[in-house]
Amino acid sequence: MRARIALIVVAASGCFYTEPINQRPSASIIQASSAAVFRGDTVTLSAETHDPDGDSVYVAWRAYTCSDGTTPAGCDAAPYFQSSSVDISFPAPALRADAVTPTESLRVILEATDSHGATAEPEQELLITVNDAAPTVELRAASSYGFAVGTPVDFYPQVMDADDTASTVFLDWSVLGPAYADSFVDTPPLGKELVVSTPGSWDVQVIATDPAGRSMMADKHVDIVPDHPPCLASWAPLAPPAGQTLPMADPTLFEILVVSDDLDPYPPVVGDPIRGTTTFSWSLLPPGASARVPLAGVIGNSVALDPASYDPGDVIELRVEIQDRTHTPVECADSDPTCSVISDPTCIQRLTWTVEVQ
Amino acid sequence: MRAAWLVVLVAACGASSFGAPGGGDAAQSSDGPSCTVTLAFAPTTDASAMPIAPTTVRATATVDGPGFVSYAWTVTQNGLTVDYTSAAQDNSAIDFDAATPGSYHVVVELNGGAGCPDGIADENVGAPGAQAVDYRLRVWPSPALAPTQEQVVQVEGGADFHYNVTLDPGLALAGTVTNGATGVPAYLRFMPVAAPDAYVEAFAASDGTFALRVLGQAHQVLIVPAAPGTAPALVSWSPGTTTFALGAGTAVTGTVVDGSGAALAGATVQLASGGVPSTLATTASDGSFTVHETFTAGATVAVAVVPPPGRGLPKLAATAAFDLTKPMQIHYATIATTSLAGTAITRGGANQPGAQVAIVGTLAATAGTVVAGTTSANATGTVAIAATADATGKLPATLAPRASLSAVIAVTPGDLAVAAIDLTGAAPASIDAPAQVAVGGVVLDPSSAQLVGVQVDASGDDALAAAGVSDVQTMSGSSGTYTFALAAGGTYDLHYNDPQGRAAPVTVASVAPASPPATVMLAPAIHMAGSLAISGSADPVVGASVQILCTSCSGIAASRPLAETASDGTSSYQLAVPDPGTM
Repeated sequence: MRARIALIVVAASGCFYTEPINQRPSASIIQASSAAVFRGDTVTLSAETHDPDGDSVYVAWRAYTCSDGTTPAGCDAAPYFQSSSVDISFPAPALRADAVTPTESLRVILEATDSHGATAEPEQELLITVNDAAPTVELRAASSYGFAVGTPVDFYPQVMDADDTASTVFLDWSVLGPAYADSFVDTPPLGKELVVSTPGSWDVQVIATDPAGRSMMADKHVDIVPDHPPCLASWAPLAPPAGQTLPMADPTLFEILVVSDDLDPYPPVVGDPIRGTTTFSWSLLPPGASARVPLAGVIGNSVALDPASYDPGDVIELRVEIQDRTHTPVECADSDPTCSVISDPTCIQRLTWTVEVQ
Repeated sequence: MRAAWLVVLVAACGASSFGAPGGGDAAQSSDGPSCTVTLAFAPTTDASAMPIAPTTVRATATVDGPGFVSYAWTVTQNGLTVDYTSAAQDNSAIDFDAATPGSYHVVVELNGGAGCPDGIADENVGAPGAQAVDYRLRVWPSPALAPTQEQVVQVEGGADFHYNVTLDPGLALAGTVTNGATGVPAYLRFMPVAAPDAYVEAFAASDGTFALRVLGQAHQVLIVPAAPGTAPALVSWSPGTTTFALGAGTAVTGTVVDGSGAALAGATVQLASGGVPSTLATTASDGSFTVHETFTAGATVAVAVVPPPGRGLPKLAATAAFDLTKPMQIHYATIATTSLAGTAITRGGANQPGAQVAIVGTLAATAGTVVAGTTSANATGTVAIAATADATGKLPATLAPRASLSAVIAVTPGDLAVAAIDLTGAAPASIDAPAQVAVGGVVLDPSSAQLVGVQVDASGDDALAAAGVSDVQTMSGSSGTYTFALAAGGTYDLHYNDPQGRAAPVTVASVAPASPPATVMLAPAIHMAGSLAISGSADPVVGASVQILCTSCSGIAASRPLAETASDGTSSYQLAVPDPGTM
């Protein structure tokens, strides 16, 4: 639009009155930040306008994606962003309109027009170099086994890259811990599974590098804990307190009903490839004997005793000790009816029934 | 079509009632705005009218709560989505095709209601021609939550099913066992009258005090005191009673004499009636004894006599309704004995120093009589005599009845053999203890696939049982094969149990180690799953033992679970139950 020349009006009184000539507004582009722009970033600009006549100035923005940004030929024909706001924010797309060609720069046009239609000349143009965006990566760790030694800990990277697909981003993993890892293997699509046998503080680091060589690092700290000892949780019949005996008049099944353990509980967890089950060791102190006899053939959670195999008044001690895969020895004194390898009376690995045959 | 209201989800009250016998349903509750969601199925799932596949099941949700509600349904079976069609204009009801037997999990998500919980329920659909078997379901929750309890579950064959269990929290009982004004340490067994096997136990401390959680219903309580001068007793208990007063009981006197009529000193005598023992007595030098009892007058009484060691006599057992007000005369029959002195324990012709021998058996003839007043009963004689071979591998002087008996020999601990010995004449010069027999086989599932990880348990019969030999167990390994060493000459019951629930247990009775079954196919199983809850409580029931037991077993078999598991962190459980099958 061109500026209009004001009319010269000759008044009937014979005096000349001259209508002022409307002047063009001026405009300039203000960048909110001088920082480099990367694909996927948001670009924030403002229009600064001035009109010598004090008229209102209206602005129109157009932004084009370009390959080199130095010539209009290098840009898309159609703007991908338009606005009439003074202050604008718009993205720096990763790709040009053909959805194939990477965006190398942005060409931003600002046009200002006053209320009389006069347009600032020349148009304001800003060329913004658009750089390759670095990938971002976050790392998450998960364990179904309480981060216990010997069990898998899964690391899931969340990779994002504004101008590359996650699959083109190269991940370089490393593990730092108090010992060598037992295994550190891929878990599709992008994750890793870590198995270590040494408890302690372990760090897993991943560096994500995109095809342009830009990279980002993330690390995740996990505390690998020792295998918790198994705890006798429920049994039958009731074990007598010190100094008392359990009367047995009928055949009785002495059974451990439940062992709580992080990795080797009883009853076993069906279908879990990592979890195992408790190992039971039974022994018997026969009537009048001074040494316990291991029931070597018994590997299960129960032992049956028949009072008919004994005499009324006989006192028998039946003992069970449990272990998990760690096989921590139960080393309390033989005379102790119960034992906790961690000195926690709520988590015992030995139980003794002192039985009196009726 | 009659709808049965199976599931009630009450968000407001923080508690809800779970399940119905034979029904596959579920419920949950949570704090929040008042909103009640009820899921109903038709045909209904109850004991008398389980829908049979294939069928169409209608699920209807009824919401009592504020705000507009829309319904989003999900139906799954074994984790697979089941299609449904809307059966109400507002989508508050759906029809789904129950093409195959099993448990169908139905969830209705309520959108727009003020804090309404999801409706969740499970509908059991039976198999055509299903046969039914009753099992006992026993649950052992933490004693702090609820007492052990048991119920009978009717299991219909051919289909997995859902079964929620609502546990009675019972009541906390703190009481005292006394004899006069004195507290008495004791063992207490609270047996519900309706299910005496599901008992709970406690020990009273030295001051007689005890505490436990018990069902608030009638019980029989067996109390065995650990204080001299106090007789065991079986008493009736109902809620409100906290003190058990025991006493010395009634004295029963008697004498024990041997076959020649001479007093038998050092014999132990104990009576029992109705599961209640008397005190234990040892005969004096004149053969006399006194026991104390609290039996019901006129009840059948079992008399057990253990002879003093070294006499070669059997244990006596006799049962009758003895008149316990009269002195009890216990007479051994004339039982000839022989000495095993010098008998060698051999294996492969070599003597076995230190071998432990148990001579066991039951005498064919009457071993004695028990007389009290006008009642007389013959006594059976059970032999259980132990001896250990000396450094030369020969037995020391050890008397045993002249009878056909068995010797259970432990050449070394766990290395066993069973040998028949004829002591009707002179003692044999040697008793051979053959090497153990390597017994093996293959365990298969019902489809003939080899099963790894099956526990195989060999329980000794007859002589082995009499000698108190413990079970021998192993696990099947690769290709389902297992092997263990069993006593030559013995017989065993072999129990096969899959802890992973892929099949149901099987028992093969009276197996001689020389001829074990080459292959054993476990029985088909169906899966029973559900959740546990405590009535009136929103607390989870975690780590509770859940067992399936047979209803017709007796003895130790009644205690051996056919399947067992423990509830998980969500109070859920799953068991593999023997499949009763279909006709």
